[in-house]
Amino acid sequence: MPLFAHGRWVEDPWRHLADDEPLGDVASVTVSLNRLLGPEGPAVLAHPGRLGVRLATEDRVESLEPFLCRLGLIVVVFANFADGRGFSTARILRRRLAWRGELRAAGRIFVDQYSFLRRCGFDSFEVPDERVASWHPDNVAIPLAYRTDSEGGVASIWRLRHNRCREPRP
Amino acid sequence: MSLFILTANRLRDGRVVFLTAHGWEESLRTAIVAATEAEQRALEALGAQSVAMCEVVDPYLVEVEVENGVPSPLHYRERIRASGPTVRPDLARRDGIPEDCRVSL
Amino acid sequence: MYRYDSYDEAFVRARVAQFRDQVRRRLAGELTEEEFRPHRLMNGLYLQLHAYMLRVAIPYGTLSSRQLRRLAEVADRWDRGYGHFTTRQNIQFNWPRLEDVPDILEALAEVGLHGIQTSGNCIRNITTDAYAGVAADEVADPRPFCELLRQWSSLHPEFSFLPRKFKIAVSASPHDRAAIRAHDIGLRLYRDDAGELAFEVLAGGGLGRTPMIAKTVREHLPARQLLPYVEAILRVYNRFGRRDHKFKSRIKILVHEIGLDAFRAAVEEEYARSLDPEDVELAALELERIEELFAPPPYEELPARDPLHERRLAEEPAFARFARTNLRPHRVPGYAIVDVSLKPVGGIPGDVTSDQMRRLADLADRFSFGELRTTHTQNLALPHVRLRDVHSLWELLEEAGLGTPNIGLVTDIVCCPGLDYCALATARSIPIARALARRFAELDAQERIGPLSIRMSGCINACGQHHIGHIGILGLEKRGEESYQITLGGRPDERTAIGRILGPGFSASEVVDAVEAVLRFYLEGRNGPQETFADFVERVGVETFREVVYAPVRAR
Repeated sequence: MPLFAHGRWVEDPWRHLADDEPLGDVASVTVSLNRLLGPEGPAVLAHPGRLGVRLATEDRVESLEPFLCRLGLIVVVFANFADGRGFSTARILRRRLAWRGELRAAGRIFVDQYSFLRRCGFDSFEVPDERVASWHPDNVAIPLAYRTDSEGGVASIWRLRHNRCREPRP
Repeated sequence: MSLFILTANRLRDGRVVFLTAHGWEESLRTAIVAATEAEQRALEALGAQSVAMCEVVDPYLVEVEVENGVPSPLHYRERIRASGPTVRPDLARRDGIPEDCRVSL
Repeated sequence: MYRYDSYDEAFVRARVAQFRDQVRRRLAGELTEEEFRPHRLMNGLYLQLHAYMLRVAIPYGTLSSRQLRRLAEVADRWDRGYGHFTTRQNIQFNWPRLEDVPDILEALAEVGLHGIQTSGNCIRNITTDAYAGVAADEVADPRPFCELLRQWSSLHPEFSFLPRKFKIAVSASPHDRAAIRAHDIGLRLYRDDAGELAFEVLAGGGLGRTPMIAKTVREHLPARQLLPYVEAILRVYNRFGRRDHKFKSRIKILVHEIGLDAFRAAVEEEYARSLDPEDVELAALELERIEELFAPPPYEELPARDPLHERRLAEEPAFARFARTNLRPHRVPGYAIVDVSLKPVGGIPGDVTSDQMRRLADLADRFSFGELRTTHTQNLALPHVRLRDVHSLWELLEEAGLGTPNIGLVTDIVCCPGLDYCALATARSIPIARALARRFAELDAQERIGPLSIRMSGCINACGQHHIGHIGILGLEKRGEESYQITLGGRPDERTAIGRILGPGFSASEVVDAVEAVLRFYLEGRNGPQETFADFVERVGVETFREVVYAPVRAR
């Protein structure tokens, strides 16, 4: 799947394992939340390489809390563009659980959601093949938002108005 | 055998249109009438083509009766849709909508 | 009233530019209708029965004369010379062309108006008491909170793809004129024992297919904690609201299915865990800035009573009638709120021509500091009129066909566009409202019937809020014909109640007779004129109406 991160197309260094795929000795793998929480969990955690998790739309992100320091990537999969649960997942990860690592959006995302996704804290995007050609986030971005979220390189009007600007998070 | 015509909304302005031999028109007077299942499928295929060409949105078949060669929808919703708001006769479409298409109260 | 600064302007213009590009991509075939639909909906653009329909937000129902003039220009230049005011204080245009909509939105942006989030599964226009800031019985002006909510919810990154639409209403008076209990979130502003502003937070109200009255989630919320608390409710809803079925996706179903206690616990936990003191502080600063913009206009110091006004009331019965029905007490001595009825007999409820818009804008400039209000009953109001000017204003309103003295009476009918315009409708509603208004046109008879809210919807989605009308009418389809179901016992006020179905539906030709039979029974049976229709129904029960209505109507 083509990967867009920090404003450009990049190679995806991660291998995303299906639940029946062996862990093997790949350096960087992601597994489903079910697999991490299931009987195979200890083996998954003992995997020598980098470990990431793919959250399905309905997964409860809170169950990741004990494992966050072990993780190098969290992928949130959007089942379809109208299902906005993944936005709350990202918000909780960034704000409440203070996740600083890579947060990736995947699934049925489209370019017009880019600002929303960035502002909720996503920093990389698995873009469906058929949407790669039209993926020009700069054309659809709105550079301003009222709220105080400083993720996403979008200026907060409230901060600007009240002189509380701070460096956006990287 | 039921008779059907194909209607849709034109993409660029939203107006109600009907498929005629000369393309999509705002009047149903000359709409192509499908009398068989095969003809209905053919109308739908033409509708799908027009959707793909960004001419119209949401095409669907409307059941009609035909009197003196002019189709008239059976259902009151479709009669209102074909003629315009019944509460604003000044805005209703007069071009070729037979009098009995109007819904009175 | 609130004025855009350069940031608000830049924000709305960026949104217009974004939509212009989306329209271009749609017309060029780069976006399918399925992909385009959420974009157009979130900019207020529907595809209706005859054409596109553009809904323009009038935040919390406050409108300047300049904005109203611009709406008139839009109606003339890009539409068909009129607009329709809705039950959520917005205005709709029924005939815009898709290719013109970016230009329309740009023209609106110039005067601080937009269509952002007037449709779609997102947080919709924040509504409030149409008399906010001027009502004599008000605790504090709720509009600064509404504006804060507007800004907070505009293009909210987390809550733009909710399970379903989400409506918030705010009231700051003991008398609820915003139907807050019929909203997804209802907020009641009050002063607590310490004299501080606080909110009672209600959630889970809504009409539609499964009408429900909102329940109190929090009795006492310090006013400055409003945003984090509302955010907690939205987050719980966004995560756990049902998405498997459109009819089960509103927050009312979530609250109902998991129960109020479980819902409250989830919200409180979310609130406690996610509270960010910096967010609260910044919102408080922004609220202060907004409050300054809502400073009252430069009222004159006037005596509470005006002798000239009172003499005219005594001498001119037609003026006295107008004053009885269309005047509301103002919190400033010597001033009144003047309601402008958009329900003339024979008209379409809520419709205004561009000429009338311009006249109203002129009247607002002359008599009301350039300010108007839209009400949730599809009328307008001039909020700051000197008592001594009311007579001149009334004469000019009469001239423009806008002086109908029927506010709160039987012909002040709330009515959705129904099947004359709406693609979802199952029956027409405007012709029924018109026929009812004609039947009860006689003004003395209207006053004799007294306070009465007839509300009518052309389908189960209930845009006409029929459930909370004293008399509700729901248009349905029955065996290929339009059929009308009557409900009684609903209330739109602080004692919000859902009406109960009287019985089998009536045909279009029967329904007016049926309403007349209902009212006749009330007039004959009430304990004097002080017993309102709503109180009467409560006392005698809906069942007692059945025989008096069905037998005579069916016999005709």
